Amino acid sequence: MNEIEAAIQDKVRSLLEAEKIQFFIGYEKGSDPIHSAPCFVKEPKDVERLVWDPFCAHNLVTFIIDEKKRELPRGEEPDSRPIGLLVKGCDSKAMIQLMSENKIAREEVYIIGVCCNGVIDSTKLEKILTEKSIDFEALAESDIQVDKDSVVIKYKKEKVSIAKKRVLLDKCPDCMSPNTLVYDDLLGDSVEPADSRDYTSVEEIEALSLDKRWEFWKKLLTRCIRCSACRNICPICYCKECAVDSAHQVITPKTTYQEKANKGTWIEQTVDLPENLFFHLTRMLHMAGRCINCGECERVCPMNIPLSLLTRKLEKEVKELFGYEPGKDVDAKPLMSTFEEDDPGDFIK
Amino acid sequence: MSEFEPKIVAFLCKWCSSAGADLAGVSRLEYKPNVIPIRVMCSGRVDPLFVLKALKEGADGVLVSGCHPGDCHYVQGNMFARRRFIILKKLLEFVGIHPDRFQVSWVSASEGTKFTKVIDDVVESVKALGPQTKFKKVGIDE
Ligand code: SF4
Ligand code: SF4
Ligand code: FES
Repeated sequence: MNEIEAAIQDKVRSLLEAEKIQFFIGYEKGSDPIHSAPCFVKEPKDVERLVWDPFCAHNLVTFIIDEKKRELPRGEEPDSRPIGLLVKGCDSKAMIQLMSENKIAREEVYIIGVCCNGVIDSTKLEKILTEKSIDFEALAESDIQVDKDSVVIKYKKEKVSIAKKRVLLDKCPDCMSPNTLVYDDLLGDSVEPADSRDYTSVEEIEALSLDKRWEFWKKLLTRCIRCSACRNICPICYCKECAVDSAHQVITPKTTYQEKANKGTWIEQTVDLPENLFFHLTRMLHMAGRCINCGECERVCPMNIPLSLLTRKLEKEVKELFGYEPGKDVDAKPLMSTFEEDDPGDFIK
Repeated sequence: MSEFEPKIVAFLCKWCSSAGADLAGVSRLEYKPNVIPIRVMCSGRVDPLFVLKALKEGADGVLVSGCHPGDCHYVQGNMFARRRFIILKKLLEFVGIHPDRFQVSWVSASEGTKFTKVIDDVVESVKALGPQTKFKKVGIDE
């Protein structure tokens, strides 16, 4: 057990014992040593399940939104105590964004922040290990050592070293907020943030001709099965009713014509390129000035669609056009419900 | 084969651009008949999803036209619209849809001539691009 892990456990134990929080959301070890999973701790005896290692990928802020959406069972009194939450640097931007949108109040969450040295992309690591015919499921946790630049794996008395940058999540190398920005407690040594964001992947697409770009996206978006995982995991996407769900209107003999008329069908259920494109553009339009590039949508996509190309493009445009950075300032005005007299307007005839 | 005639969907705000179109009409100015005008109360009423839906349903191009900055009947509607539309435009371009497929203009109630010019320009530029096939749903007929 590392120091941070011990500190988390101690802190959570004392919070739970003093009944200061409803429950705590952190990470526990997943089904194999190269995955960690979200973990809800309600009893002090369970705090030993909590871990902190380089596989803690999930943005746990999403669960606060889920919790707020949950209808209270009949007879249950609302609990006014905060929910405890483990928040990495990048994820704290989601927290700030939600606070600026008045979706979460600061006192509703007890935040334990952790300074983060980067999270390993289990999928990338799994691929490399499989190529080297290493059975990662048989590894013990202590067989995996992650230091500053490399991941060292002990396997059958051999040592395999993999450069860390090959297996980091795409969002980590140019992370500009490795240290949690809002917190009640902060653990770990402060980490040096990157100097600037790296938009090479976006610029490569921008450099293509329109038709080439279309071919590129056509290939990717035809693959989308519209499972909506990317939308559901997003911490910033919180509406109870979503524009892209209009296809799921249930029509019964009792549905009136007014109801049918008032419920526009933006998207049809069919999974094809135009509908998929519509889905993704809608998602991006609704995320403009709000997406904090936590990369969760890309991580959960079962079809491995590089959605962060879209989210990074959005981030880049919003910054260039309006000098706006979501998730930075709690008092920032929402980008799309404000304007400036001198907003760019050259595209208008 | 007959020449390709583009189908343009135009969202015109009631107070300026739509009135501008009326002025063009009563002044007997001629403009290209390829446009399907849809009157909305304000350019701020135009959700970017309207534009996407029009393209998906087979429009070759979409025009949104509203009052000049400062003239909006609801004071600020067009200013909010301007922010939304530039993001939409950037995203459409990023996925490879020609920027001329979605155009925006400010036309006031007194600018009948400007209205005809805007329409003619939009029609010409979209005509040059040919039919819009990328976003269009298969099975939507002419
Ligand atoms: S998670 Fe992937 S497959 Fe599912 S809807 Fe999103 S992009 Fe499509
Ligand atoms: S990166 Fe994806 S999941 Fe994260 S805020 Fe942006 S859209 Fe949501
Ligand atoms: S009323 Fe014309 S743009 Fe608002």
